[in-house]
Amino acid sequence: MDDTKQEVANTNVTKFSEDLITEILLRMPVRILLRFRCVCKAWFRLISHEDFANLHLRRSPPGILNKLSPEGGKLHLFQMGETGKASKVEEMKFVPETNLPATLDIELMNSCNGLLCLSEGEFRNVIHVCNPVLREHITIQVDDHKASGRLPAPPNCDGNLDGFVRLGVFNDCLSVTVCKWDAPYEIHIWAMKEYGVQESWFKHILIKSQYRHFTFYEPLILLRRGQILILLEEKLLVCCYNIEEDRFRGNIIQCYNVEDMPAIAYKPSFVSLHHIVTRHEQVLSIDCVSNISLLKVLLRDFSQKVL
Amino acid sequence: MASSESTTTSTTTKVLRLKSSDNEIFGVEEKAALQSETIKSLAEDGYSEDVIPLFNVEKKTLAKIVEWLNKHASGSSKEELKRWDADFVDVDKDVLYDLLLASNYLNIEVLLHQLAQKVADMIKGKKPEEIRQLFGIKNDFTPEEEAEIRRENAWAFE
Repeated sequence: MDDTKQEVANTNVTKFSEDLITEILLRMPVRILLRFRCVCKAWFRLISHEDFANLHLRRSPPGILNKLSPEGGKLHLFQMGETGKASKVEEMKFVPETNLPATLDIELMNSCNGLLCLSEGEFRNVIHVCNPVLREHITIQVDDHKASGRLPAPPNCDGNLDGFVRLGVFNDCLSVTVCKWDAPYEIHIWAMKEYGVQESWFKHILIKSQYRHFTFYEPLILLRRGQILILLEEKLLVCCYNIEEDRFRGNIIQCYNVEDMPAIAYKPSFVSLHHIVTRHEQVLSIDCVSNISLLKVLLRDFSQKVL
Repeated sequence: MASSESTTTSTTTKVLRLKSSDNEIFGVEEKAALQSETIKSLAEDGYSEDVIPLFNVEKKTLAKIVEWLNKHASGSSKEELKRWDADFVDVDKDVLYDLLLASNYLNIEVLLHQLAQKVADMIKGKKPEEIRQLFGIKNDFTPEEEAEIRRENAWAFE
């Protein structure tokens, strides 16, 4: 390797260990890290590493993704501080052919762990799992009912779901929101901490809302200090609700789209499908023009080094 | 054993003596000093009666660190600490890097977080070329490789 002596800078900064560089880079938004990948090979590998991706995902502030325009399929990302204040907002546009699979009738389903789930086709049975930041996706064809097993219901909901029930994703877990007809001011939010495990259904949040005229609530993210981001249907708002105070704290985002699911919780991430997919699924790159083989080689070299 | 020891409330605060790499000795109350995991384990190893040598920290940096340790053990209010911390990390970049290295070596998690965040904020807006210069990093990509990575990421900067 042509590792000739590096030019020595005047400061102690050259003594920074990889751990220290990691500490700094973990505090950067995804957009900046994308740019910093071309600083040097070591940074590229660090930022592309699975461990870094997971640490970064855990640290990222909560984000809300909404569909901006139905025809363009563009998505906007909003990031905000832990307090749920709308002040710190960053924007990213995810565009078909660049970040998302280039199909016409694609629909954003939901997201967890930094990945998006999109559906396509007349019966919505073509599923794309996608990381729009890394521009990777896999396509899964869901045959009839074969793939869909039954999941255990939350303990208290069993047999009594007479009301508004909605399946969603809450804090990266599968969730069920129940609003019974006979108690319309109460919202029960259940989330299954470990997918498929009955005993892991957790948290029973009851909201006695003052916003009675809203007929639809979709919990999105639980923030610190008992605050929760909620999507309210009629005005299409993402609001911050304080569980302890039983109070709404103002709007985060006004959505401009009147489709069924105008916004979801999403954190942009470096979680690569290559790290997740193990068997027969093939990870495709969204950009067919670019020479992704190079990036693969760089990453492969690295994983060999680590192993 | 109902002894009446009510008068012995003279809380003898133990002071640890920290020695910088350039042989300056700082006395720091134990409570403050033990915020550093490194000092804590050195003290547990029996250095506490003697001087604790910190080979990787110079006196000018250790003086700042000691200032931070004392402040964070002083029982100041959260708001006051926040303001104080903002001033504390508002230093020129060489001092900042020295502090970051020292807090990493001394394993003071809270301070490390504050300093790493400060550096992150400082370099956020920089170009890759500027980052290389700042960190003394050699660009080991071929021009083709670099162009490729840049093209991959171009969408995020349109």
